[in-house]
Amino acid sequence: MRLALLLLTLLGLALAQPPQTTPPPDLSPEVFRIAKGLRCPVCQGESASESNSGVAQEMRRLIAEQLAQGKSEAEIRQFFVERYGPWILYEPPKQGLTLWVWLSPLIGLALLAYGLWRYLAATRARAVPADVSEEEIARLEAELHQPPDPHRRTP
Amino acid sequence: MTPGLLGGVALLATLVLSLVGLVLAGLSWWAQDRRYLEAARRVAPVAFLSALVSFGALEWALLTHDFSVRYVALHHSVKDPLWVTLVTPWAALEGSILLWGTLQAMYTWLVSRRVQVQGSATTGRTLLLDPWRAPVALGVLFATQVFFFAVMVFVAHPFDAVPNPPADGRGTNPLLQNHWMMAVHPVLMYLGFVGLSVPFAYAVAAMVARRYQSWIFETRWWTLVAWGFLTAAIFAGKWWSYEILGWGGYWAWDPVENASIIPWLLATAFLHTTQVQERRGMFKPWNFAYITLAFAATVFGTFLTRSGVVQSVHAFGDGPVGSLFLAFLLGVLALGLGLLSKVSGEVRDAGEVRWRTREGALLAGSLLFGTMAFVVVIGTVWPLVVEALSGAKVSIGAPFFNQVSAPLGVAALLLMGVGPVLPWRNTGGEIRRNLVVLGVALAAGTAAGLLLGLTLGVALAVGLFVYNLAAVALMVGQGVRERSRALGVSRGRAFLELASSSRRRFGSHVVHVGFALAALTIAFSQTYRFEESKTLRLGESWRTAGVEMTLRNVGVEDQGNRQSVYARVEVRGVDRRGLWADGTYTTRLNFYPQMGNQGLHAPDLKYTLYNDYYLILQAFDTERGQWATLRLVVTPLVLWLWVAGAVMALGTLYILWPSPAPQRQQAPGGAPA
Repeated sequence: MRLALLLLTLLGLALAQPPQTTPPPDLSPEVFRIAKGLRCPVCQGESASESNSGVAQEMRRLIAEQLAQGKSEAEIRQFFVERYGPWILYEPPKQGLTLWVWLSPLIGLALLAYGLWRYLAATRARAVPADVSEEEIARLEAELHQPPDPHRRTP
Repeated sequence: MTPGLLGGVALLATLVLSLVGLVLAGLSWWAQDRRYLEAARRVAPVAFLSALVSFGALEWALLTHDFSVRYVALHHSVKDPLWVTLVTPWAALEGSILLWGTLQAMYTWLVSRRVQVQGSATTGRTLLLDPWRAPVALGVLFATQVFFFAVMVFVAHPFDAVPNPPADGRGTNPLLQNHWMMAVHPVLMYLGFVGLSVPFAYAVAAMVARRYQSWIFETRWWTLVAWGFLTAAIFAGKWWSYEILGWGGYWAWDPVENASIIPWLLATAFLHTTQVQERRGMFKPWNFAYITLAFAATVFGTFLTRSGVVQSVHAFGDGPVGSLFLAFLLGVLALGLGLLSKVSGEVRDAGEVRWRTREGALLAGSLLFGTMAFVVVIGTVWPLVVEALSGAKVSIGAPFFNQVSAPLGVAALLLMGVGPVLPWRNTGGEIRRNLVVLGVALAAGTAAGLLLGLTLGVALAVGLFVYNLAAVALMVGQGVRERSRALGVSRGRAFLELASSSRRRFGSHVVHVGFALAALTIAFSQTYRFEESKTLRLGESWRTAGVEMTLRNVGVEDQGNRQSVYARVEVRGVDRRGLWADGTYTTRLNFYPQMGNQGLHAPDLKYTLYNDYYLILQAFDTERGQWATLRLVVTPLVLWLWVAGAVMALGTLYILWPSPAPQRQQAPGGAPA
């Protein structure tokens, strides 16, 4: 055990790891919640809450410190925006160019719905009125039960 | 003979064979001569074999530590465990393209077996590709194969040699060594991606040969296979991420995760709209568009990650490969949508669709999935657009995607319950009772959730889950009652008979229940995740979230290819919330020589029926091992997310499983599918 730890110490020194004698501060759930909305600037698409890189740990420490000073979440976010630019926020602002992203569900739905509406209007116009009544169709369908299933051998 | 030589030769041979297949398929199309088609059909298995040989050669090189192969020197080390060595072919760019290409050759071969040749019996069971469409379908598949093998031969050669082979290689990326899911998730993903090439090839053939209807029946099996693999792969990836990435989450809306969900969303839309075409012969142009977009989306993700245009944990670095994939992506879109615009005037669907019918619900559902795919594409590429237009850098991440996907998810869950209950064509008064039952289930579930003190969103998720269960129970119950009454058999027997005779319906019920369960667990785990971190000295205890944790031991183990620092923590539940958390947890930080002082987390977690307890070692006393910083993540219902994934995969398997014997054609009680 002692030997193992000694080995570890040597390993740490060999890797030029900064000696970690003081433990990192304790972090409340609030810290993680705020960190989740912030990008870890050195990572590949991870938030400051998820990443375990040094920068992310430092960010979490800063958040804890500022929470302890009584700053609000908005103030803390603002602090990081001033430091790194709006890029640090994972939630894009609802203004300017990124407003379009927020509107994208509506735009997508509207485009598809319009296309579908146009299509259905065209197919309806082409539909020939059936000379059989709805009851007859329903009765025939009940008899047929389902369209021919090509995967099934006919009995 | 060295592995490098064998692999290089086999790779080149596969490229040549694929080209030959493409040319033969083209000739049989132009000359309308079946002999060329017959020849093309025979090339496919040879090309597959040759691709397998090159894949095998890469395994051989890895297993024999042949560091004269650059891929081996860069991504393998003699210290790697055997299973890691075996999965190293898809641990980096060149090898993963080789896996992709090999699987493509396999699918091409499987399709070639469906080509109708002179003398082949036309049994009703297997659907054969007629000689008018077969050349086109095979041609598309061979062309895809040519692309992948040409990329390898000319740009990303897996068997490039190193002039001075090192004594040992750099080893596999430690992140990929940390969990056995590495052996499963990528293969499932590629099987799903490549599987979508088959319905796409059939669609192109259908448009070229102007036979717009039959391909839908013929590719039903293929689409479902690809969809099943994609679903399984996405859940496997979530599980991997949860167990290994050391942050206690399963989905981060990382660009590559987004890229994997886009084909799934479009394939889901396609799977549902094909039923409208099957049943009513409508929606043909939309199905051509959906499958083209779904197949293109599989290439889109590769383009994003291999070109270095986006940052992602999955990115494999940059290079010319990305732009080649972009060109291929544009080619796929041009082919599919170009043909569609040519034939769309001719595909003159006719018929009226009422909204309150099965087909209405299916079309509305496909709108939701299509919209979600659109949102994910926009959200993923928009940072690039913003930077190009204004020079500003923005991030679009989880908070955005979670907010916009919630309402779309709610709408999809609503449709999923009511859709299968509605009859085709026209809805009369007979289902009013069922609609009332469903409405009551939704309201009761939501109200119960609110009474239990859940947030409105989670309570609604509970309501939607109950509502979907009620819908399935209604449909199954009705069929069973009718059948047992009509045939005079017991209800249990009627149920078993129905379940085995209408696999497609039952399987889809199972998949739907799995999806509803997944939605429920996502709502819970996203809303009630709890996370806190604290430094403990040896012997010190920490009470939070219903548990008491005591740090017992901090130490290090030499595990050959890594140094593993561990903290042993005793956990005891102290109130009702901490029920079942008891146990000794060993959470680790693994140090790999190739990663310097950046440790990789190997968290310890305990699944329980309600909460998951997830313990991460954040930091430790490097000098005397006197303290450790622990991070506790408590997330509800994650276990059930894996159950949901398994249920969805098994439901798909149930539909695909071949029927043991020909059944009576829909006996009484089975409503139309």
